[in-house]
Amino acid sequence: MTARPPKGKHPQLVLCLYLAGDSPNSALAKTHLRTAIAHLAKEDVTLELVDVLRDPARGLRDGVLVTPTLVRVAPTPEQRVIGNLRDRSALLAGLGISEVGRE
Amino acid sequence: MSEARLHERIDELERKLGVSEQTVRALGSGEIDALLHQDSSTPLLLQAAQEKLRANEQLFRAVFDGAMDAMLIVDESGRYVDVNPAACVLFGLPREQLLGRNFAEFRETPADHGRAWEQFFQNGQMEGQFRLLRPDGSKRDTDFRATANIFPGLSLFALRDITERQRAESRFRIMIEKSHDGIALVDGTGETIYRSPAMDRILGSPASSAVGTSNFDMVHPDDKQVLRATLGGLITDPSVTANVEFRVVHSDGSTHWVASTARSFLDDPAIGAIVTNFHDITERKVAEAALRESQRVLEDAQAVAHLGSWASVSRPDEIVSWSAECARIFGRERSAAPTVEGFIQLVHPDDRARVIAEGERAVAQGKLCETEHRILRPTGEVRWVYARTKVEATSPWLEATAASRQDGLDQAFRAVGVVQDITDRKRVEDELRATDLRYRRIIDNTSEGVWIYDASSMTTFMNPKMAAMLGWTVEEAIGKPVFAFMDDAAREEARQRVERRKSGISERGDFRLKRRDGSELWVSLHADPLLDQAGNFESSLVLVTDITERRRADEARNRLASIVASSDDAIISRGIDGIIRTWNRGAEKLTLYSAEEAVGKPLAMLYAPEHAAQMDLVRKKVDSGQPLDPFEMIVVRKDESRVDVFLTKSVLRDDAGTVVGASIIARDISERRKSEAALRRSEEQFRQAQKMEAIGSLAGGVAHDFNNLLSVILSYTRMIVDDLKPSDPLAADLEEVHKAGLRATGLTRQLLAFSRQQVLQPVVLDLSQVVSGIEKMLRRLLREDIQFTLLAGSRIGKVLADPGQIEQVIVNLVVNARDAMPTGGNLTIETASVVIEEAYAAEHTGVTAGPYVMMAVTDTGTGMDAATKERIFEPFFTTKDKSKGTGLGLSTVYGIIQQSRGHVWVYTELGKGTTFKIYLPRTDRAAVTQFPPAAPASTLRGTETILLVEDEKQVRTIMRSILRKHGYNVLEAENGGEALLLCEQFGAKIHLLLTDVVMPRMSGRQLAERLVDQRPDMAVMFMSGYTDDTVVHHGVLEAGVDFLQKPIMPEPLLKKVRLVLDGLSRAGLSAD
Repeated sequence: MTARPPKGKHPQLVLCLYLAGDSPNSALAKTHLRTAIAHLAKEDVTLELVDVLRDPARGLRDGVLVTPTLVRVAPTPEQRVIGNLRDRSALLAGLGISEVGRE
Repeated sequence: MSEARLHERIDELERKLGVSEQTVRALGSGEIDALLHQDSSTPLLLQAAQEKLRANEQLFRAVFDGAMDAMLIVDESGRYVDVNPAACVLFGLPREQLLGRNFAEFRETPADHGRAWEQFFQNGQMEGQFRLLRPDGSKRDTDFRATANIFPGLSLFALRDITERQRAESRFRIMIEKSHDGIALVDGTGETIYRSPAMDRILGSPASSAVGTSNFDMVHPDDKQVLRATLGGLITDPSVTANVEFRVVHSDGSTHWVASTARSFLDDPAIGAIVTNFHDITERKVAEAALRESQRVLEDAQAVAHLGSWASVSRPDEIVSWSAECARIFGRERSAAPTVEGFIQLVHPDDRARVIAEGERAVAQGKLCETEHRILRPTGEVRWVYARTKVEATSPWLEATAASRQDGLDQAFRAVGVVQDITDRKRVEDELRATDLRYRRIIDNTSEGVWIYDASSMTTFMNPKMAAMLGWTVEEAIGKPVFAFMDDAAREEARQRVERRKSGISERGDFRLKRRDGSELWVSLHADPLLDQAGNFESSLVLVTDITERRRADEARNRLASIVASSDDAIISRGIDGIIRTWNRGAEKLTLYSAEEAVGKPLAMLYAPEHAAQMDLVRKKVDSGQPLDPFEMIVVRKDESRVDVFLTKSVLRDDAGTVVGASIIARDISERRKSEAALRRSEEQFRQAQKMEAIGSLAGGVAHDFNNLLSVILSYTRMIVDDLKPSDPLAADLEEVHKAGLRATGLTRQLLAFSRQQVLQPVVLDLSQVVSGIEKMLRRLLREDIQFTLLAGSRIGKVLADPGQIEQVIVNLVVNARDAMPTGGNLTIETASVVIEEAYAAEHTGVTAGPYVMMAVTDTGTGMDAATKERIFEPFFTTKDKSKGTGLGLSTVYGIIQQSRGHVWVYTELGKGTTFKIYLPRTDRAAVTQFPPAAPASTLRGTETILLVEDEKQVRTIMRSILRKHGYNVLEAENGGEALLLCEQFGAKIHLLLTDVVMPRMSGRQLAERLVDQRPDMAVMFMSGYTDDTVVHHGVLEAGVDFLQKPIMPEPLLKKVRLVLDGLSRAGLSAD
């Protein structure tokens, strides 16, 4: 219900995508995210990919319970999008970008 | 807990909730690959969990069937493959009828679902509201949420019937959302939990950023504190209702005023919030501020304009409300306002009646009442005000006033007014009016014409002087073009001048205008352009001076100057220093000095030295301003000759009356002097001639009587002597008596000659021959010590004169000259032909111009003084010894020459000698050959009858005796009448009429004329002692007349008688 206004005009976008190896949804999520980021060409985006199969502790430390999970590290507050990121509007909302074309 | 922390916590919780929801959904849709668990060191890959999920499907079925919301499973084509009981209720169909139906069949309005459906699958989910059309035709509003591929190829739709809620809420929601006022709900922590759309407009920020803990971000910094305190109060004390006005700063930077009313419903579980109402009052605030500002401006304006206002909207006797300035004008406190009626008491007593009258009239006519009047301040100070009052009443104001007092009824009454203090303006106006009047008077009375005309050359102003100059009235002249006051030539020039003026050029100059009567008006004018405030040419201002008189004066002066210049009189001016300043042509002519030579020199150089002292006095007298009579003096000319002048000297003064010199007018009077002298001479000559005439008359009269006496004496003496024997001693004595008688006869003849009364018998003569003829005789008269020279001119012309008389003249002059040279000298006689000019004739009395023969007798003797010269022609005047002269010589000369129409002139100088000049008129007649001298009568006897007429008895007696003694028959008559009688009675022939000329009653001539017819062959012989016009004219005997000069002596008488009777006597022959 609430949202705070963005703190800066062009905040750096720092993302972290938690994956489980080459699992189908993880692969889908990576593809969907890359497509979405490509459409955000003007944003200064940093993307970190974390494979929980290789580093399960990292996922737990970061409070990630399922994969694929996308975490918007910056700007704060942290936002999370769960799933294979098939839902473009949910993804954009998670990245802090207004949705369009929603019914 | 701070607001920020509160928000953070909410956010965190929300995020966690969102993550959980997502996780559940993702799990449901099979999007999860792995699960991480703290108990497990390796992620749990979900393929292992799917078995477990399938095991849970039964659980899902129970949830599905027991759900309150309608749930429908839809295949990819949109057909219902499974529905729960709630769905059957919602759709109003049993499960069997519902399955296999398409979702689109229940839509209220048909629509293309293809795209939405495709998008649904793409997005994976969909939610929204949906109005369901049930088969029975009723409609239900639903919220729906759909999740695609909840199972592969199947989607879940969950619908909730919100129809009733929708109906209940929609009105309020619409009301709140559409309300102009903003409404917000704030919870007990101070967080906004709802804000209506209008809040965006009021607070100037979008809802998404305005809801939350940062409520005060857009509040004006100055108002934040008040607002927080109020909110805090509302939270701690829920019973309070707060009203706050505060400012917000919109994102565009503008400041807005907001009025907020907040009431706490925190205790009301149905609401649980503080309900706050926001209203944008910026406009009201602005209007209020503007009103305050305009009121302040109005006050200031009133103060500046000294304009007060007042109004009364109820009754005339109520206190009015008046502005601060109005009170100030009346010099009162604002609280001490009068009533409407009371205003009249503030009016100055002298103006009160007028103001009331004007007020009543205005009210009666329903008009504004405008007055200017004085008011009295409480201090007694008098001020002038301009008052405008509008009174509206159902009946006129004053009546209404009275009526309301009487019956206490409220009349419909309204009065408003403004009062302006115009004391200063009045004073300025008065001063202006005075100034204006003063200028007006100056312009009206100035001796200069003032004329203004506009750009189209129309006269817009003219002062009376200008109009008078032109001969129009001011009223007539205004509106006329300037060109109407000039002739064609001047008009052209005026046009050019006007154009120059339009380009801003001022001019001075002389100009010719035309008066109304057509006469010229010469003016000197000074024209300036008048510009309007924008600097454009507006009109011409012309100051005009009439110089017609000046020009005339100039002309007159020039004329005078030319008169002076051309005057024959010398007109000279000198300065007070005596130096010549001006010098005209007359002066040049008179003095022979040119102007160049004279100007700058002292005037005194013109005065004869002997006049210097006198002229010095004259100068002093003139310079002291005393009048001076004209006088005569002598001017010394450049060539040092002298000229007599008549001088008028007058003082010269400058305009201030100071003596600056003198004018001298000198006239040459030498000519006048000459003519005056000539006149005096003429008068003298005339007087002399008259004297001579008188003397002559006297002498003539004496000679006449003498002749008669001598006739008797000589005749008797002769007769007695003839009778006596020569030896008789008496004979010698009588001879002496006879001699004395003869001398007396000579004297008488000289007297007659002088008196020009002797009878002349002139002939044409050559004077040179006459003189030459008697030269020998003349030489005998002269002594040896006198050298005689005769200069006889040849061809000098002839004169008509009696030769004997002329010889007498020459002899007399020669004798006179001889006697003037007692010690010897030269005597010269010359003759010449001369012409006497008119000018000479005019100066000499009795002289006629023309050709003359002149004879001059000049001696080198003693000469004469003026007194002697004056009297030399008088008879018996002599300078010689009594024994030597009779004093008749020159008198005879004078008489003979005068009688011969000539004149004699004398030039003499004492000690040098004298010249007598005799002028005889030249004649054109040829010289007559002289008859040979008549042969002496052979006998003195005769026998003829002679009629003797003589009034003097003694003379008649002696003549009768002589004639009878010599044989003549003598008839005697005493007068003409007797003679006529005798002729009639005497029958025999009368041979000769011998008659005296001068007789009483009938003259001898008249007698002769009477007897000529009776006795044609009777000869006539006249006798007389002196000339008489009856026989001789001016002493010259008429031709054919025989004449015997008295005194009668026997021998001449007898000879003459014998000649006449013998017919030998002819006119032109001398009686002697």
